[in-house]
Amino acid sequence: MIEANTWVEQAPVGLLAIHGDSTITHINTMLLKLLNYEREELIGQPINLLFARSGKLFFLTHVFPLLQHQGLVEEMYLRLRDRDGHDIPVLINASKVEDSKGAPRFLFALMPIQRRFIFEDQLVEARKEAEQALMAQREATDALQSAREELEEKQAQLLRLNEQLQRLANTDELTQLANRRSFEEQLEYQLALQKRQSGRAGLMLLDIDHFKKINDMHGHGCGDDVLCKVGKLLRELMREVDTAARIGGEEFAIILPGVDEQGLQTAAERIRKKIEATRWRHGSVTMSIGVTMVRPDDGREEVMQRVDRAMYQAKRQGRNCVEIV
Amino acid sequence: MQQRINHEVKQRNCITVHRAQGRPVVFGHGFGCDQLIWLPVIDLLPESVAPVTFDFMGCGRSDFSAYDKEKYGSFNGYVQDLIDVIEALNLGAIDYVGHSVGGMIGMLAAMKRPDLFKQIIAIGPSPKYLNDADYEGGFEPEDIADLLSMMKRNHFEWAGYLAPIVMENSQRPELAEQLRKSFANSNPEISRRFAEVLFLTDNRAYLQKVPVPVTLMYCAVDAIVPVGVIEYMAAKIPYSEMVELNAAGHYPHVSSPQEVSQAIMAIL
Repeated sequence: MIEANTWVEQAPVGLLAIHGDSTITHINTMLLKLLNYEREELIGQPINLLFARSGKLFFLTHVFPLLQHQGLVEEMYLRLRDRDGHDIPVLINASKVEDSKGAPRFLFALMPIQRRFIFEDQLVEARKEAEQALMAQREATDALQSAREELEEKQAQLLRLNEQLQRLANTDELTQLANRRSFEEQLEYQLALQKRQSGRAGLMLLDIDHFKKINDMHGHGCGDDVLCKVGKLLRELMREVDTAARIGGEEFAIILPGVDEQGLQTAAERIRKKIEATRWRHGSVTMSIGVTMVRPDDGREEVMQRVDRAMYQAKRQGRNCVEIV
Repeated sequence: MQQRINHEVKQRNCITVHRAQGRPVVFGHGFGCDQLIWLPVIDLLPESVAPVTFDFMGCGRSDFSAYDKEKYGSFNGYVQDLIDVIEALNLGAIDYVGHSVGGMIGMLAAMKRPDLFKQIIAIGPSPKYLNDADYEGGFEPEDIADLLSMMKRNHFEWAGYLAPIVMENSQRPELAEQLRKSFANSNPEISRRFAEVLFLTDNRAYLQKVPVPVTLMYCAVDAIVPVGVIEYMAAKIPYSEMVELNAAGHYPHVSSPQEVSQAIMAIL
């Protein structure tokens, strides 16, 4: 058996009782040891003696009003000051009771929290660091995201530019038809296709009759207008699958995949008539057209020579006509 | 319109009119408290007095959602609220009793609107809590920094995170309600900012411009405001009187409501 008093005195927690006017009435040995005071130094003294100025301020503005109002304070952190002026962080629980005369008394249990205090500091610090890290990570992610978006935009720009370049490289500026280089590519492709699939394709070579005269009599501006308009007419008359190109000064060529000889001639005739029937600013324009069917063993040179021959035959026939070889 | 504003102010500052008839006396609480702190004194006042209490922003049952960082970042916000409260009563000039910072707010409000104040009774007020070369306010800057860190540590995640858990798991349901009340009693974030405003502001220059009579009620032993500060104020405020109470501490209206209510009635 331990005596009631010993039990209170030796309990490993600081115990304190004060009057309503905040003077100390009881204090246990444990707390005296913690604060390095003798009992007679504290009994009858205001509780403020146990606080530094900041602790006093906190006690008076936070702990005491709460105690008076609600009669209860739980798990409140406070800093005490011992006899030698050292800060002692404690956790306090306090409650209000009435003495035999009905006057208020306040009881305090104080638990030193040196280690927990340091630990809490570290927790707070760690949390702050984690928050900062998270923030930095967010910023980095945002930066990465915007860099990626920028890159994608640049790539899209590059792609558009590339397409434009490609188009420029393959197009005859004046007529907006394919240029010679692109035409030759297309012709090679069609030849290769013919060999493999033994399909059909026709080739057409068109030359404006007396173009030099137009240039000489009406000026190069007028000649350019004629070229431009021929280009427009050819584009209108062609099918999607056809490739029309300007391959020389006044010389045009059209690749027509999938046509037979009959179809090829009909198409050429239609173009010839259309050109002939079109009203031109300076007078009339006609074209001599040579056509040929692509043969399975044709190379580019061979098929071109053949269509060239056909075109010259048309010229010799008196121009403004279609000849087939 | 006026009615609506009145209603808003009544809600924002939780105005309580304790008696309809009688001489209106408005009571402003101090830092760390709310209007309930006045109940012991009010209970002892005669029926000829019509007491009105309210909560400053962030305290008690004031409407925390009306908190505005900028407005309440200086005394001005609290001063304006007091003016609003008195205007909302629509009773003309009233007697004002303010404890601690509530007293200082009253003096600043009277400077702006002398027409609303008959007189001010300030219990333990201070124009500046920090020491200066030739002024002893009672505290050093590091004391205030310590106080703020202590407040921070005590509110560490409490209000937002732990309070509901504590309540849910409480083995003592009768305490849950009290706990809730104490958590609801003040908003820690707002309290901390209020502490910064009130402990770090120097209002000394305004004292000589206070246009209404001020009674400085004080305890000889006040742990927060040294008597020297009260004497300093008495010297600066044009119409002032010092009244010493026998009570001790910073809360005579709580520890000795009888004496404080009698002292107030003597002045009224």
